[in-house]
Amino acid sequence: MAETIFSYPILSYIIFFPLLGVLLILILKKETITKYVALFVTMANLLISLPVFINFDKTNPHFQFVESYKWISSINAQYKIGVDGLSILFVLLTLLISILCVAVSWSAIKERVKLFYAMILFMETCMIGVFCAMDLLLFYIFYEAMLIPMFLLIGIWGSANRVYASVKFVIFTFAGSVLMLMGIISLYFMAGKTFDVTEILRIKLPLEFQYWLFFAFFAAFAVKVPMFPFHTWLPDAHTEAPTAGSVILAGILLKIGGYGFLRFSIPFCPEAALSLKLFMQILSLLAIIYGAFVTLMQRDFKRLIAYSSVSHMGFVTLGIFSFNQVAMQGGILQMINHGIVTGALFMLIGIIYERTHTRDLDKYGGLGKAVPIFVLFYTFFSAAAIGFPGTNSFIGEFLVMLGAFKSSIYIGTPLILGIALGTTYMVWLYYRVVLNEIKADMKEHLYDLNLREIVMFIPLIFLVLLFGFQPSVALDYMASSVKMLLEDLYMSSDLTFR
Amino acid sequence: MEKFYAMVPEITLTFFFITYFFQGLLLKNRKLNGITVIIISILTALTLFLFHGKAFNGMFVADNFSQSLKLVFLINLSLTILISLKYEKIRDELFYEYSLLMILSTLAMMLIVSSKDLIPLFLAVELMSLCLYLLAGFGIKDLLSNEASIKYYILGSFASAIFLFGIAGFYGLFGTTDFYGISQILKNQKDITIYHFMGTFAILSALSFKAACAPFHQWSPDVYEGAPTTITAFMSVGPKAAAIGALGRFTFEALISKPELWLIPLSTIALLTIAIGNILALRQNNIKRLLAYSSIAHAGYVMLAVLAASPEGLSSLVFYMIVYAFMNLGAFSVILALPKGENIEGYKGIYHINPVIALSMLVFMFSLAGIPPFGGFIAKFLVFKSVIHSGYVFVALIGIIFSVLSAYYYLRIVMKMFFVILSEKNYIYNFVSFNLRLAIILSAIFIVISGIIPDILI
Repeated sequence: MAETIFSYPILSYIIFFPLLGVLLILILKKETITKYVALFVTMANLLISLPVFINFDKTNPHFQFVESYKWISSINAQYKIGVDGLSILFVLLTLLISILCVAVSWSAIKERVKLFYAMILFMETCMIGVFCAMDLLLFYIFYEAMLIPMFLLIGIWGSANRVYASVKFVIFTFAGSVLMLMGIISLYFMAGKTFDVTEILRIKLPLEFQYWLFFAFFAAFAVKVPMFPFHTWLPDAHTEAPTAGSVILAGILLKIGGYGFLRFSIPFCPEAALSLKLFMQILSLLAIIYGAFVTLMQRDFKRLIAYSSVSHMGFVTLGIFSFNQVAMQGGILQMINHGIVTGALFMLIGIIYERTHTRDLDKYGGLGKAVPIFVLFYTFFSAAAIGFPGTNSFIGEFLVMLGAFKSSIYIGTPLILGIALGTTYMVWLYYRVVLNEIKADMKEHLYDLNLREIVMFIPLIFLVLLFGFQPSVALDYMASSVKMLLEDLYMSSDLTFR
Repeated sequence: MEKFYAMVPEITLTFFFITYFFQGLLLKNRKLNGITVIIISILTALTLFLFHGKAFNGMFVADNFSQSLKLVFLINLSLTILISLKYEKIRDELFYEYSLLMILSTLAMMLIVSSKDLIPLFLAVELMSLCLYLLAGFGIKDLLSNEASIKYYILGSFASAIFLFGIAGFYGLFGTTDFYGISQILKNQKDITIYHFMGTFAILSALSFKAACAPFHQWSPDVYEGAPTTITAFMSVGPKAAAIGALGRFTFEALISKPELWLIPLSTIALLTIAIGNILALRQNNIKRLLAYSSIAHAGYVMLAVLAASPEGLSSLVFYMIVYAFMNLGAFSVILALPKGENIEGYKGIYHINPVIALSMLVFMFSLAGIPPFGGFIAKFLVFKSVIHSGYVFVALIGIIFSVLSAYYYLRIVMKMFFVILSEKNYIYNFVSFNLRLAIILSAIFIVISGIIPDILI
């Protein structure tokens, strides 16, 4: 089983190294050095993980670096982890975003600093665990354990309406995931008492059960993505969370939904997924268009970006459920892109909020003259969010559109409206924030970015341009895994679907 | 002699009980007496897994199921005594009687889960209940506590009468009260008469009353609120586990061949208990009352394990009860540790004052809500797994949806502890005594370990 080329369990190190940081932070008496510890741990973790990315075999569609140990032997649950083309980029994204979360909170978090950084690191462990887990029960435990740090992050360090937002977030997610738990338990019995993902894939489930299971997983992942009717927790949670919380939410948590569809829903229930293709596509289109319209109406800086996530994530699910190589790769790439770009936008909002203490767009204006360096970055990431050619989102959206048109012209055409609306709200937002005249009472609070804040954005800009001009860097990682996923999907069902 | 081997733990405990009876007459030192009881329960726990087998012609049985539940009772006893070492509502001069009654009721619980015959079962249940009636009224000058005692006694007597009625009915039908005998005769009986139903209903109702399952739960919130906190803690774990354990054994060993007798009543009781417990807990501001309702809901989840009526279900019941004992007693210890621990307002900003207690309470609350990586999740998971395995997917679905509801009221406490920031002058610093700290930290560590490596328990 162990095909790992390392003599040591590298993935386990990546998962549990931040947990070591949590313990260290809790033991340390001095509050002032916790942020240095957190920064060190997150950066060191990225360094530890580099061999994984270097030695990853892009031509191998199966799991790599697999580690497998007995965990709960009486119910045949294992501690089994590994990465494949679908998950490796998310692991990288998580490692990167965690560093940025520490950096962006450097001066913003002044209270209960120890608990804050402990929660960020705990969060990192859970997130990497989710992407690496190859055992359903293990996946579920990491998936649910994330609720605890996120609940505290939103509830303690959030803004005015934080208590409502945190509870809403937990209840929504929990409600979705308990249904998934039902699905996991039923699947366990259907698949002959195993939680192992690779074992379950070998079993062909009866069609009726597939629908049932698809629904159970859909409940969890549709809330997480969020897809159209289940998105109402998102604007509250994103808006009220502290900057680092919003970045984690937008950057990683939403992606777990899309990843879940790719990893579990589609391979486990191929026939159900194929026959529900149109339903999922229509839900995605609704999310794109509805999300964009709602975004247009927002007067709150952060809420606006939060709603734009609903629209952007619509592209992702549309890409995934178009079931062709181009669209699915586009969908995955778009998840990474959205994590980078929206994460950066939330960081920018957090930085400006630290200075102005308001998110009300009516009070903004004329930042272009007041804080030119900020605006430089803001312009860049706005362009990336719109999908300006040369940026990563352009590639992602383009691939999704290509795949959607390939799937059906009626699915592809409304996308044009979605992209147009997306451009509209971003440009209008840009006009309201950057152009116009500056408000008098705002002027005195404003000062430009410092070195730490500038340095934070450099890796993000690099990635935006890298994926924009050379998308094959990212696409190559996933190509073979996506190909195998689609082949299995079509093979298991009637060939006429193609 | 050999036929008594199965009873070694009970005999040991009885022996210790008598020794302690005399020790307490001579020594009135509260600390010493308390520590003696803790040592007694630990020593008894060591004997639990030495012998398996039967005694008294199969009336008494010691198997994995009963011995693990006995472990729960002994944990319950030792932890409760640990947290009541310095509890002022139990006065020093009464501590001896208090601990004596607790040992006796623990002994009764141990007999309950080992009984394989309705008559000894009834006697053991009565012994347990009589001790509990007295214990509930231990806040001697506290009117609420007296009310709790009387209320519990009157309603409990009704339940006992109904229990006897059911036993009489069964004896009339089968000519025996032995579980094995009943199952053998029932297997060959073709038609089920109304008398079968009456007998089953009566026994199910009486045991559900003892476990405080809906619709027989009405006594419990009042009693739990009125009784001194340590006794509430004691009552919310042990007696529940005993009654549900007996119910599990009774349905599994006596009535397994005719599920139509108990399937609908039992699933109704379980789902009703989950629903009522969780819904009524939503608006409670008194934490003792909140935990009372939440313990009703938990009794409902354990009932689901009974409903599964499989070895798998029974083992998940045991796991649930062990974890539940720690998380519930841990939560009650936190109530005792805080100056205004009975009211939800007393939890405001506790994280600033005492981060260790706040973090432990967070562990207990998330574990009670069934959120990983804590033991409460694995416990719920195993119960639902056994229920689904037995084919009652729909029942499991309803149960699991209500557990989402429960997250809200547990989170409310966490919210008060972490999200509220008090101004400096409102801080009430209080010294938390060593025994409480020990109980809280031990429970929290156990909950975390049982969630991450549950293999040590299964």
